[in-house]
Amino acid sequence: MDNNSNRFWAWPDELKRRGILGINQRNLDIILESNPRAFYPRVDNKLLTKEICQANGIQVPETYFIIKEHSECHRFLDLVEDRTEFVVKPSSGAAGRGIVVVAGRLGNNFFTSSGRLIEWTDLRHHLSTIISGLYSLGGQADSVIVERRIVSHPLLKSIAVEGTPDIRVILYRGVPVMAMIRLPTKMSGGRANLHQGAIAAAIELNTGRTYGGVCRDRAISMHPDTNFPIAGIELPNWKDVLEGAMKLSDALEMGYVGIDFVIDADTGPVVLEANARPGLAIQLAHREGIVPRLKYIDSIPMADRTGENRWDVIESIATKSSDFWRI
Amino acid sequence: MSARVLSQIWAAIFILLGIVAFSLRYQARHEVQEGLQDSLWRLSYDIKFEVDSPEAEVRVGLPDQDSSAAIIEVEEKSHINLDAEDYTSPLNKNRELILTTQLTGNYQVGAEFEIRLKPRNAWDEQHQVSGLSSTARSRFLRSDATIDTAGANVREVMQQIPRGELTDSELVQQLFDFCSQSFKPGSSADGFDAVGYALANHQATPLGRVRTLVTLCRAYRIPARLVTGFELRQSDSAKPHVWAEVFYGHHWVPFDPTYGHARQMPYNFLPIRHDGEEIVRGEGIKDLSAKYTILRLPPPANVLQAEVRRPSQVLDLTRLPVEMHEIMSLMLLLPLGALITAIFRNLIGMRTLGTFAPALLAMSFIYAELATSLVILIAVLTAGYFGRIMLDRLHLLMVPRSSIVLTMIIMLIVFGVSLIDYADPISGVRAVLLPLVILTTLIERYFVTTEEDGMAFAMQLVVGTAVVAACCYLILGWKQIGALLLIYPELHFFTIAAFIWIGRYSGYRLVELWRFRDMVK
Repeated sequence: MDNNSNRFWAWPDELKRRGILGINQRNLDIILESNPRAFYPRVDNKLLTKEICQANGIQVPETYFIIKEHSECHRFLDLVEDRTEFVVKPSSGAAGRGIVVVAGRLGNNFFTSSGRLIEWTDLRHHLSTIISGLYSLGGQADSVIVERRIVSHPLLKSIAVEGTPDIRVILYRGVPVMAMIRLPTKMSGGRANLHQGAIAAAIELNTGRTYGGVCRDRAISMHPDTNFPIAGIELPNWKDVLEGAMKLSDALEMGYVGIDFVIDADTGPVVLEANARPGLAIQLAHREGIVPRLKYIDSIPMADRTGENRWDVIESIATKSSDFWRI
Repeated sequence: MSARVLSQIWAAIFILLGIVAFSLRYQARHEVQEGLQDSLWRLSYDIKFEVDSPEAEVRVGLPDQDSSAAIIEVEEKSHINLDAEDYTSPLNKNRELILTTQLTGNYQVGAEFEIRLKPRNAWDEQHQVSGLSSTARSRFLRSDATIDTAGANVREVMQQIPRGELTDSELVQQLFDFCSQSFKPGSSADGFDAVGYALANHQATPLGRVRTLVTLCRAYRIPARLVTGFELRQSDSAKPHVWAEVFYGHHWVPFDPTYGHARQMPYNFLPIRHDGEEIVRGEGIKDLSAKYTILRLPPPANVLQAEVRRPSQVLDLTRLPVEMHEIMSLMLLLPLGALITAIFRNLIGMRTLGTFAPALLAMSFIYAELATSLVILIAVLTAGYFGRIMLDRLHLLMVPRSSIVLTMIIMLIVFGVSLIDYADPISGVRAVLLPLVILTTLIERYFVTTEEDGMAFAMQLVVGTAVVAACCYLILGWKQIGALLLIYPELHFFTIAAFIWIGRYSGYRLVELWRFRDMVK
């Protein structure tokens, strides 16, 4: 049974009591305070993020090659060799814009994971629009990353339709505070994009087990396409996900950051990208506000929330009763 | 110091700056306006009379201080043997100077008034009186020697003009028409001052007409009175003018059957005495003569020097040529457009295609004419949309592709304007100023959003854009706001303060109250 309220709105003080973070407060009190402007390229430029990950021993999808100039586009077919699966993405794109996942190939005709045909001329055009900066923040000239396609862990196949589910961990001052998994649906066209209709389910920080669930901002408990319950799924390699997230957050030196992972069938968790302005839907997936957790982290002495001590903090966040988080 | 405290301080500074700058300019403008629009007049009385018995009394009517005429200086040159006393009658609010003589002999009294005459404003309503006291009512309905409501001729007129279902206003209009049109001019020597005489002979002096009007009104039980005053115009022997005031609808309404003014007297008519025919009247005196002089005075020196070039004039935008006013006020409206945008985005949480595009679109609509702009906008969007679909197949790079859309839009607009000009040569040419680049980027953005985030989301943005643009159009299209900002551009200090406040607003956006509604149970 979905437990949606029939009200049309909530009063501000009700939301405040539930600890809901609004966009204005996120921007003013959290991001402006915690994320130094100078470090933004570390998350906005995926090439830089990848370099930082590799320097810190965090798994990322293997980069096949990079195209920086329009004149290099014609070499694409040579560079891609006879690979039949790869991902083309803009280096500075946001919210998954401009990403093409090639899952099959017939000569110079490519097929996306949902089976759509992309001819070589289409793909070449797409490469040049990426370089022109159509998908980049601020419209600046961009480069194309061609990297290995991640094959989702078989355990997640049952709850993902037409695409790869990804995991987002939100870290505050280096400590994971909330995590969710985003499941593509038919409605979202196979993309793990929430405002296109993908599902988000909350993840218990200490166990990696899913609970809650939300689709288009309304609470749900079943996958609308498969009717599979979305709660109670135990994510594989969960500790590795948290470990990678904490390591990357330390390296990025950002106080408030969302890190997106995919769990690859062979290599385990890999980092897709980091985000300095993570969205607020994670609260809907948890049916709980994030503000009390942020305040809790602030209340812990610095020494107790760094290094290996963070595992205790994670355990304590996860095991607190919901009453504890009420303001 | 924390950003929050610093923001509060800056917002307060901007509000203070706004108040100071606004009041300074208001004051300066007020002075110049008074100097230019108002006129200064000097009204002088020269009164002579002879007194036989010691206890004589002379009453001199003084100008009324009302909204359109302010007395700025009064100088009285009284004879040494006079007691002078200022008196305001409670019934008529007349100001009088009561002179009491001590000795017999010839007296000469002078008085001078400097009067500032203001053109009456449209909203300058007449003083509303809640009602007449019973004393006042009987006073203004009474019959006396000059206003004889019981005369036979009066009853004859009342038979000609039956009261019937007429309202007071309709009846008074008929009486006014009667008094201003049915008499030939006559002289007071023949007695045409008197009501009975005038009605019988169809001939009347100006005073005779007014007396007749007041008599008739009172005969119909509508309170009425005579008013004596001056028309302010230069003259060394000004004659007092008499008109009537009739009370209905909570007002004393003026009617001047001599000059034909009805319901409102021209602003340069200065009433001196309500309910009286003379400016000066006396008891126990003889050979009373009064001479009135009216002289126009020059404006203050600073007003005459207003055209001297001064650096401070840079701050005065109204000094710019009139044809620049519209574009200047349009520019001054832009920050308000941005304010509306900020309110929609940060307080309401509505998303639009491009940040300032809706406000800029609305501004261009205000500059051009609405219907023409709409036609051109729809044509441009349609052409842009289909042009973009067509170009999609050519696989061009982004900038050249947008440039083709821009060129197509420009071609469409120039021929569109030419077509409008052909059909109706006056309207529409200004629609060219629709911001083409904004439209082009809007079309491009719409396409990218449709491809990347789906049609539903793109439509959400289109609706948001339309709503914000419509709001901007309604608020910024208000002509007075633009005119006000042109006069007082410092009002934008308040706009900046508002931006600072919105910029530090960390509360929920309106849409979040809806979005997170399931979180409270």
